[in-house]
Amino acid sequence: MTTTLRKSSPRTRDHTTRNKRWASPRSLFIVPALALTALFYFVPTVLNFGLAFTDWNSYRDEIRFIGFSNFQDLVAEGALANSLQVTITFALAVVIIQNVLGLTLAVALEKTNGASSFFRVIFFLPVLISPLAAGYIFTAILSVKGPLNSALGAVAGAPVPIEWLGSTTLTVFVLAAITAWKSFGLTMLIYIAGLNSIPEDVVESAQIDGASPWRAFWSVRFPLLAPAVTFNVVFTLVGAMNTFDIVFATTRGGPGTSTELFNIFVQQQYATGFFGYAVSMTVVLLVCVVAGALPAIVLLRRREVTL
Amino acid sequence: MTYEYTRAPRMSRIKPFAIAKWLAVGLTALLLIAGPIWLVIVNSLKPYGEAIKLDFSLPTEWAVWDNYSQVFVQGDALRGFLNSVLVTGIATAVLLLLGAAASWAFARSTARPMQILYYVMIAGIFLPPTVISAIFLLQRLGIQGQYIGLIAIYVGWFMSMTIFLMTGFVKSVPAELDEAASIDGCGPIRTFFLIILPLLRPVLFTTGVLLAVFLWNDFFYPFFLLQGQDKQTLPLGLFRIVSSGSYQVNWNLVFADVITVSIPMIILFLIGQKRIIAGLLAGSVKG
Repeated sequence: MTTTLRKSSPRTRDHTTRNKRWASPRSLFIVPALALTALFYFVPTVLNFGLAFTDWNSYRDEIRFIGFSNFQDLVAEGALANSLQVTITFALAVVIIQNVLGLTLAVALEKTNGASSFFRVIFFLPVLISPLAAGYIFTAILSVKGPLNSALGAVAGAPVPIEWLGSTTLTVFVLAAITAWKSFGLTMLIYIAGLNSIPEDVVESAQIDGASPWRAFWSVRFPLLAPAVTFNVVFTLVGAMNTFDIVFATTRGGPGTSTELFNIFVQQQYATGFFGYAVSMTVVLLVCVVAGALPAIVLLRRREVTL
Repeated sequence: MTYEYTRAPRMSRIKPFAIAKWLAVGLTALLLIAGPIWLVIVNSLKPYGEAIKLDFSLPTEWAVWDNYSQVFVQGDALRGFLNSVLVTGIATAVLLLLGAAASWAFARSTARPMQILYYVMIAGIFLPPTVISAIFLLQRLGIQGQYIGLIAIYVGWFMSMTIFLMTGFVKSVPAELDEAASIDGCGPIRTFFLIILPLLRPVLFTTGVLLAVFLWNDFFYPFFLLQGQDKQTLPLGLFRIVSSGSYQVNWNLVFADVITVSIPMIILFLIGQKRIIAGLLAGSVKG
């Protein structure tokens, strides 16, 4: 049907010129979406940059402008350096674990057949679970006397008392693994879509030229997969930097402040009534997300190859 | 015939690799998915004393009714379910309707201002919504702590994602259909509802499921933006059950609640599983 319609090229051209008219009544269809996004998304985002410079708190009704005081406190108390370091470590670990796992499974399950369809569904299940619930499930699995240590103990022949969620060095990576577990199913599907969109003859000609499957993958298919890599890396990065639920359900930032992500700090300050102070950390998070996502997009886009 | 002869030796070379691959995939599924799910299910059926051991064995004493009735009575899960349906349902419906309308306008226009507005809207995908300032705004509007405030913040936050996921699909709907409709005397409103919206069903379905899954499971925003136990969504109820365990966590109840929270989305997914996965594979980023 589309082909018959597209044959009438003069009309199509006529149509595009008409579309250039800005004042088409159809353009009004963006108004409701734009209005709601502006009020409930852009306004709060902009408000951050005002409220971060105030002493807004739960103890006084009046809100006063206090300049950079909140930011000075963030630096002086070491909260900024700590949250920054924890969040970046955590986010990079999530990006790596989730994308390596997602891509490996995508390569294994890229051909659509009965078995791979079954496993795609199975690996997608954690995506459907609440991150809070995922946090609780792994609190159980990783508890000192929990199933993981028991299983390791059975293999080792001696009790294994690893404090998965109680270590100041290891736990941030354990939390990253839980976060990756929750979403790798989606990453996998996006990689499968990317792999399926690569024309088969490209790979075939590489094989005819004598490339090993390993070489054919990394030199031919992986560069063509770049759009999916860009999408997955950037979204995992941004998502990981905004994490709250899983860490709140497991460690709440502990032990000490070793897993205190930006949003955990924000919640704690909010809970104790220091709203303006909490917002100042939100501003730091916003800046970090933009500073992290933009170079990632530019860097990864540059690697993209188009056929 | 010749084809089969030449192919046979290659097959035998490939087979051990294929077996190893499926073993590895199966083992991964067993360890990462089946193990945790089994642990949750089996311990949600045990009484408190058995469940605190957190092992994989079947219950010696079944406490199905005890656990799940506590989740529904003490945990108020039925109300939580209805509240979650309300918030998720309204937010998803508004996002799909307004998002589809905006996507249609964006997809059909090549005018410079519309292009710029499109990128302004899409920029929202990367920025986290900021909850404390949202509270400030909702307080000033007098809707902090209420469903409508939470729904409004969700709609504002996810509109960019919705438009991003839909615009590409709308572009694949031939613009000649709009033209034909307008020649037949349809205004933009009738064209959108009678011609465009029905054709968008596949993308509405996939986007809707993704949105619903995320909103249903979210804890962060309801935690900040809803006040009062009567308004709690299912994840808030789960949090309350965990926090109420004074000394030891009641794993039997926690797991029964985890299942109660998760089941609706898992059922929704399994029903539409083929279409959802096909939709995600067709619609996602390819360049």
